[in-house]
Amino acid sequence: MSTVRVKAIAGNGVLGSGFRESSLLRGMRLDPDFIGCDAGSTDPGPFYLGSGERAFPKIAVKRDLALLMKAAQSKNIPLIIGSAGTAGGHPHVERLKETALEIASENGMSFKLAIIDAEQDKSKLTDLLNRGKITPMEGSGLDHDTIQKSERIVGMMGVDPYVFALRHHANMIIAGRSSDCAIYAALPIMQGVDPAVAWHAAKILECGAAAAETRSSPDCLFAELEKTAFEVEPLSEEMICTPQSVAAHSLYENANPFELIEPDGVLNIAGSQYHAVNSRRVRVSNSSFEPKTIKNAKLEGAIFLGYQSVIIGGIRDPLIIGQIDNWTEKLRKRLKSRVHDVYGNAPPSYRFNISIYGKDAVMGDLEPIKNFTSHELGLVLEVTSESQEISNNIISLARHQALHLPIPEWSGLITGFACRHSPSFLERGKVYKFTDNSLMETENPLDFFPCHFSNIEDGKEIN
Amino acid sequence: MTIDVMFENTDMFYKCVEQNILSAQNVAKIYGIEPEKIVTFEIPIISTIKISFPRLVTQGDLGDSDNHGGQQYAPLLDLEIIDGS
Repeated sequence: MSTVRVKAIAGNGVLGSGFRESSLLRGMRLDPDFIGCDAGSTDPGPFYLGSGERAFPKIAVKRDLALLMKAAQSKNIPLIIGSAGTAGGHPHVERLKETALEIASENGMSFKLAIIDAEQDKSKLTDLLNRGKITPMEGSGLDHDTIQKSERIVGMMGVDPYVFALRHHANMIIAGRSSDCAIYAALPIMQGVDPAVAWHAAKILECGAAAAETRSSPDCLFAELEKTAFEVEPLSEEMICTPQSVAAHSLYENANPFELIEPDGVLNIAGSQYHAVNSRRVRVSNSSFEPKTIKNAKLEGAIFLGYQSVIIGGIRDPLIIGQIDNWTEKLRKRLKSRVHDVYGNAPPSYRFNISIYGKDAVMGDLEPIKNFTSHELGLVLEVTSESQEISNNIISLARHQALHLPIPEWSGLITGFACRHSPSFLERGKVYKFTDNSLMETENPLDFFPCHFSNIEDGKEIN
Repeated sequence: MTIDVMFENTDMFYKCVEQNILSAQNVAKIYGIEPEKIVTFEIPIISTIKISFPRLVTQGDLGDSDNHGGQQYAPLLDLEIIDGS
């Protein structure tokens, strides 16, 4: 009976954030079976899903991807990239594919490429909603209105689409939105590693060197998976993993530290054990995994909210600072009145936000300190409306009101606001928000995450 | 929102637990939200208390003051644990 053993390298926590080339080379000498890298996250916010843009610049993504592709090619092992282009929708996957083909062309590479889509068809989603196959995770979840209003909606895939691609001998996989862990769990599960081991190891791998005691910079992580346990170590010689650091990382980013919900089931780490193999390598065992009877996928959508204009400025006068709530109240009222003056009977609708740094900009309504003593306040004024022109116009009206807003203590004309820029406002362009999280039943995941193959020969896509 | 309070040693962790410093009630008072919305977990293996509660504003929405939710733990630093030793 052969012993199951799968060795994996994680490039880093997110493609484009960098890693040391020496770490990757060190990892390649350990004879890995595959290299993985998470290329996305919802951390940077809804803009990327809504706009189709990526959070890390192409030049940084290309640097990381080129090194990973060359390493994978050198040993003929799979390279698995998930949540392409930050948001993992159709344009994001296409863009990463383009970058990969550029690298392939520049280096004369040949390989079988699998592209797995995660963007969902709206009419299909509407049908699923009608049949009760979409349920809210919070709030009211997705409804017919939000499906139509969304720029795009992606599903978060589990391991099945990756396993399909690997079974069809893909050398490189570029997938759309995925569970971070599915990227790394798929191949080990295919090779007979216990799902609990595969998912827990994947949880540690997906953030790269973040599971190290002190992560001095984003970097690679190495894991060796056996049937019922796994071991991890950072690939930089400067970093170490300790039982504490690995156990701590296991509960990172999750509301519940013991049960981690994945598309394919629930990973339970309440009884997991962490032992130091040596001063920098940790062995993890005793995790458990309960598969779901019906698989599901989290749905993430982005809704376009409008165009925004922003003014950054400050206040230094203690007399104004001492009555800042009155001041902002007056500013809102005066702005409303000016908008009516200028636009007449049918003024456009807009949202006007004032964030006050030095008071409660960072915590908003959660801020417990009510009596602040700052000598200076930083203000960010935001206007959001249906057009950039309207937002620019209204923020310009706000600027002038803020600049000369009178307070009882001063007579004459004051300038009570310090503008940072000329022109005073910045055009932020389109802004978006996420839809409420929902779950979609995925009895047959491949119906929702189709996989297409193409052959790359000497850097050219043949079919 | 999830906040992991990781103590340097088990001694401080247990004192915090015994004195109920990071109870749902205390956390609720600091943030001005209902205690029922707060869930806390004790993880002795890593001397950690995890505190989770729903965001007031969806991440990245117009009113979101902290896109990564990375700075909301700050007021917890004002809490004091009685160190009898």
